[in-house]
Amino acid sequence: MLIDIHAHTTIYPRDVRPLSEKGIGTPDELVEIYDYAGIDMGVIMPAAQPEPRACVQSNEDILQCAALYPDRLIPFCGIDPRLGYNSPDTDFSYVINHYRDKGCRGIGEITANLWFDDPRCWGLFRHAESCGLPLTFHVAAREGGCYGFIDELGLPRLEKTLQEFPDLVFLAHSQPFWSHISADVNQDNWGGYPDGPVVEGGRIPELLQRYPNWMGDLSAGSGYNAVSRDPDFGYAFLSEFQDRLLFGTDCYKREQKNDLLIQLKTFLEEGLTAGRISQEVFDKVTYKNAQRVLGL
Amino acid sequence: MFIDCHIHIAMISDIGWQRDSDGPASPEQFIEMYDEVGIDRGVMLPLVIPECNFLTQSNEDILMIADKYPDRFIPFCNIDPRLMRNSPEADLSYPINHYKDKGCKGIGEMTANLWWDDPRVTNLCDHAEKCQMPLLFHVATQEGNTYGLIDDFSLPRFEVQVKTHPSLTFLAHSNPWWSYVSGDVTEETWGGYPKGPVTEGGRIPELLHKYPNLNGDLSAGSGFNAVSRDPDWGYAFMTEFQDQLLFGTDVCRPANKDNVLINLKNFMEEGLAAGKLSQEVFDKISHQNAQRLLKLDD
Repeated sequence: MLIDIHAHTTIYPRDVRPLSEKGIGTPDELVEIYDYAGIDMGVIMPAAQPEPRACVQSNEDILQCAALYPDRLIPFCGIDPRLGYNSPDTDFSYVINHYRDKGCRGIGEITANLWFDDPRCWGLFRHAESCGLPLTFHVAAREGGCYGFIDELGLPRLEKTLQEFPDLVFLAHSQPFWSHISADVNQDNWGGYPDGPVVEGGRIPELLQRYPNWMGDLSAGSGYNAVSRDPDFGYAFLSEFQDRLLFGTDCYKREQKNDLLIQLKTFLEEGLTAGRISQEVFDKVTYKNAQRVLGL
Repeated sequence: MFIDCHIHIAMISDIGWQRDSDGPASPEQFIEMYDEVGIDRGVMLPLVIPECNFLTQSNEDILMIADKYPDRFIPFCNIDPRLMRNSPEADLSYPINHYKDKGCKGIGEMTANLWWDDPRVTNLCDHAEKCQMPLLFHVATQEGNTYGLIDDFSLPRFEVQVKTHPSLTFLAHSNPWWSYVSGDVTEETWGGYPKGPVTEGGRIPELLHKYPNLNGDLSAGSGFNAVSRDPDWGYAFMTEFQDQLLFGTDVCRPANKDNVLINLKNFMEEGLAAGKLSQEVFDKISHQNAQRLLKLDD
């Protein structure tokens, strides 16, 4: 069984939304490529913040997608920290519970380009924690010209946030996050996809050991790169943190069926076949951890 | 004929405006309200910008309503200045033209809580002007705990934008805007609904005189208050700026049928009946200016 922790889709046909070559496919298309790859279920996340794309998606769009494939697609809701009156005192619980009652199992992908410790972000985290839903986030290496919660090299503001919200399950994603798998990450490469051998002592292993309230979303080129750039390290990392890592793709269109859709899956399967990860590790990372954290 | 230049509407969501409140009225509820009072069409302003509401709407959600009721509802798109990676270099013409081609007649309601002279806002004005799409906006008196484009007292930052974008049609809305109808507005009153006689020398008459690309959206309690707080002044104001004012309601929910749906309409009809507004002025404000500025016949 495979559960994809990170995907995107929309109820609107591609030509309806201004997304050009990055057009996002419909639920039919997503399920079609899931069938092709043998993926059973996927978490679908709305792009409900303005920063990442040329248009904003509604939570209702995602709920309609999920309703078409209730056994295959698991909806998350997007909650912008500026929602309401652009205030840290916003009653986010009302919105979170509204969408939780409609079936949303988590919040995200949050891509607002605000500092990780902005009081409005912490307002959202406080309510997400009290509502008991996990939150998927994207990290940004700077303010402006990109998207995601902004941090500095070494992720000090993320760490402060993990300390502040011990009962909120964070699902960590993106290249500025996963680049910290290695201790030699630097100002020049932390926003990208550093390759080559992983140097011991990276921030990610450190944060995983220190804070039990977060998990790694291995989707996209960033998550795949983190575990595959140095396969020996990667398989050992998967084994060490087998309860804290989640299979994912970040797929949103048919054209990704030969890369993003299958690359992590193939890496995991190769590791299993070669005996570099156990069946138990494989099962946890591919679906059991997702079942647990999403309450499926 | 009446064209309402400012409404909020929803078809596929049921989240409330606040906890224990209803949400935006549905198209069917609008049509029932409109038919009852005699409003022909309404301009739908998508709730795309996070600041202002709990519902995050997409432009596509609004276009779906326009497709279903093309004779009753006119779509605007909303373009967050932070779209496409939160940059003043973003090519916002791309989404603007996309939605223009889909039938959108303008951009708004712009409620992002950014300063009027933020480079990302300037970028939006540049692209809206280039694409010839009117921009309907809400003004904020502060950063945080509110929504709308932020200015200082007396609107100096807004004036720079209207001056430097002479071909962009601005549709001005909100209480921090309409309070400037009077010359005696103060730091304490400009975010509210100041009452009583209007003092000559307000910023709004000054700005309307100075900038022909500036227009007033008379919707909501704010627009209604601006023209009705001192009725004789209000009718004279409507007559003087008959080519730059638009009828609107800002109806957000069914309960608005007893207030903003009818307040301004009644005021205008009373003015017409009493001879305080000419038929020509009435027609321009109630629908002809909207037809012209939004290019509804194109």
